[in-house]
Amino acid sequence: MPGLRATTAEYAALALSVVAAAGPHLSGVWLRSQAGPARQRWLEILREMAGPRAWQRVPASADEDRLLGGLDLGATLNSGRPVLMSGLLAESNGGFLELRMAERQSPAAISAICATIDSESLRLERDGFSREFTVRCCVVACDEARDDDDPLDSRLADRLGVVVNLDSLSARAIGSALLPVSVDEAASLWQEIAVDETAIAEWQRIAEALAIRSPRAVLAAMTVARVLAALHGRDTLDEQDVIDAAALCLITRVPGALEQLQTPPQEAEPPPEGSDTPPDDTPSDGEDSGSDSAGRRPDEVAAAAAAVLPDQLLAGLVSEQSRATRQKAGGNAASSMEGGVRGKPMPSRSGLPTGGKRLDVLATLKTAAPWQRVRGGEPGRLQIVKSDLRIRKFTEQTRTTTIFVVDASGSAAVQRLGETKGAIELLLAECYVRRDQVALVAFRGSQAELLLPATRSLVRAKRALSALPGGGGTPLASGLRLATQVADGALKRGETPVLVLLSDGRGNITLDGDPDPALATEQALAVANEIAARGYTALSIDTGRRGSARGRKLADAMGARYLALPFADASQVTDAVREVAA
Amino acid sequence: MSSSKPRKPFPFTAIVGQDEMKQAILIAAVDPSVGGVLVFGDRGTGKSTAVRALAGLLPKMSVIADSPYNLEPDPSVAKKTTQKVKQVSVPVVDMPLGATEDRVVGALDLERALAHGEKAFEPGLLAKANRGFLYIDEVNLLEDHLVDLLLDVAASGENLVEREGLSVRHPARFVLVGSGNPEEGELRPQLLDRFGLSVDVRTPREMKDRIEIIRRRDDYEQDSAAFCRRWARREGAVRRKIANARDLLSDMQVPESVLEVAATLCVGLGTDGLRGELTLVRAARASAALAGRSDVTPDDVRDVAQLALRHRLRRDPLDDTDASVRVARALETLDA
Repeated sequence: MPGLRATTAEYAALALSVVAAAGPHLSGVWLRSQAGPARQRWLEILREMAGPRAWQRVPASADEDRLLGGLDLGATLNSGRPVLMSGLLAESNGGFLELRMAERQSPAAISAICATIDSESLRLERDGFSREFTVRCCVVACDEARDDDDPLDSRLADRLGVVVNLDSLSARAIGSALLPVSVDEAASLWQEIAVDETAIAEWQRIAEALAIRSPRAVLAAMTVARVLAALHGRDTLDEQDVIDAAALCLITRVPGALEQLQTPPQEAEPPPEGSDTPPDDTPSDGEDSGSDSAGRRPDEVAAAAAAVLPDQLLAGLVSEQSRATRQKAGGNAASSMEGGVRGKPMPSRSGLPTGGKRLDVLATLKTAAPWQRVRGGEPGRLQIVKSDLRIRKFTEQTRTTTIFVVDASGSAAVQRLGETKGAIELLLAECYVRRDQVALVAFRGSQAELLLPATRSLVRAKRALSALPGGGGTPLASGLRLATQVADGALKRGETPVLVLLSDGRGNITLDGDPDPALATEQALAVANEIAARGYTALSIDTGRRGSARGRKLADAMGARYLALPFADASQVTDAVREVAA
Repeated sequence: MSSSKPRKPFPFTAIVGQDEMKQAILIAAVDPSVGGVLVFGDRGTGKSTAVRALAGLLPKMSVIADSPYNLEPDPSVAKKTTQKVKQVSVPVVDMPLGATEDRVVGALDLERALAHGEKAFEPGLLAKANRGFLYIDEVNLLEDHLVDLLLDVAASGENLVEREGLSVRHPARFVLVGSGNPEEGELRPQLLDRFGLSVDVRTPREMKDRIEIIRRRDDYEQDSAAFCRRWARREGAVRRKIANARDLLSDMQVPESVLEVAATLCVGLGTDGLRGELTLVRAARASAALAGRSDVTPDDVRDVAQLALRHRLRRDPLDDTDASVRVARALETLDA
């Protein structure tokens, strides 16, 4: 009776056989797991199975030279002519490329790997060399990202056909779940096996149910299903192959989905038998013997997947994607400042190490190396001339996060709230010009709320703002406290927080949510002092009918610039923010 | 599939759907003066596949044999038959992201300098791309200083090298083709309108199309040589279409009505400068020529308006209306 296999260990083991048999025909495996015995065992087994094929390991610290290749400094100095050192990527041809801490690899490295996967060749245009290498390899990407880390680069993730999650497994479980199959035999047979349209349609439906848009995952499922059939010594696909391929290439792509599908909702114990079906969703099937691919019901697996997947899972996936987007959006251009001596290194360029620029010793040596014989240097003494000098610049992130703290209480009155929103829209436009991130904290009733975590999407900010209702008490202290927390978070991410408070300064709800104007005011001033103590840049815009002493006092406590809205026109507000944020 | 030679690229005509992207690339192939194509969109939609397939589609061009810059034979010299002329494929140079500056602009030829003590210029990728295409995948991730350099050369059509005691100037006229996924980072606005045409590509929604994509791709992976042979006829047809369109283009007149529609559209959308109008008219001409006509009409302008204008609209940060929608609206008012 075909269906999902019962344990993740079985899939981890199945993946091993598939990857070893397919080798470079599969562009990669996404190994989602913390470093540990399970992962180590998995990699060991794969290496054993891979046999004499190439296996190159790329550490997280590998630079572009090592990965792509470049001028070999030592050999060049020895021979007096430029010598090329080939990179790990080129050397992995025909075998495997193990990417350690794949989620930490630089975008440039990821790009090179992706381009190599796509064109099956590596173009090298570096250090005076122009070469092309044929490279077909299977990338084994070890992804150790936890929830709050930056996720694996989505370009690479998209190209990794098989996904394996080892976090809940023990090393022994993987070993004992291994199938007694001949990898070598399968490797020579699988390419002949045909895949029919219904199977592709089935995978396509599952992909859609799981919000996987790129066709690459389904393409990988085709390869995997073939290899699976060959591993079982068959020359046609059966239903189990189709389901297993879906599990390895599609379902495991969504974290937690496989486990969800494997564990029936109300049962604590997993079904004891290895190839049990998930109950209810896949009705038991009497007529199908399994070997007849035409008898398969196309909707079966998709329905099973869609029915058991909780809505939040898909929602979570989508938001995970948008999070990745947010973090990477903006690229490297306007958000960073170059020329500094700290931060992320940029490629070396020729120039003199003046004005805080640092000499790139290695690059300088590389430039000078090929010339040594011509310059007639003595052995052991390098002759370096001015034009050899290479400097290294660094980019430093100077991203600003502007946190708007908006008073939406009853005292701010409805029409005042409208004006406040208008002012914020102006400020948002300003933030766009500077490519700032914005966050939105609102307070009303008894508490403060983070309407919008830091984002560069001003459209989202605008939407969150226009949906903001007014009325109720003024929990000013809570608003300021939440804003402080948001600012702390921004600072931790290496961003510069700027606080913009829009309120009439009349706090009347305490931090505990009690109506007590005297205590509330006291608390608001106390939190404001905290902000000043942290040294955050702040701007306080008094939205009261007329500017008040109270508002000014609050601004002073915060160490903020004070501006009374009734007297400030749009351009004044904008100027003020520009000054504060600059 | 253990051939050591790089396999042939996936055929252009075998790409399922994505008609707008294909049209944009064909227009640039017919008239390089439209000024580059930017392809932005979802992963796995055949962006780079389409560009890399271009090399196989273009009619051959004649160059002076052994010219490192693919120089065009000089007709006055040709009569004296002192220069060797050769038919070559139009270069489609793929610029890898990790390329170092010396390989892009060219540098001193180390081998020759060391072996013979002579100062010789070793041309870079810009020289290779002269009279052809320069393709940058993930153009949005390219180092800023390289972007600036490329923009400078693309605008002037000339590469000027001043380094290591060399001073070299050579023609570098190429069609810049960039692709990328906006999720990984936006493109600098300055770079955006340097591209003549821009295309948004999306994953096809139709199940039938999606299955066909996977089917063809798998066939190609199985045996790329056989797959390319099966598509050779269709590729040939497109190649002839391009050649024919180029012929038609050479003596095509642009009627007043076409200029008027183009101007009205650009004014209505508030695009900056004249570059938008110019591109719009040129693209319309090429589009008409591709359709085998020798007359360009206002309808041709309408057909290419999205391609030529959507990336030139001034962005309002608070207006989430898609640029394509704004162009579509402008087209509607035109008809009203």
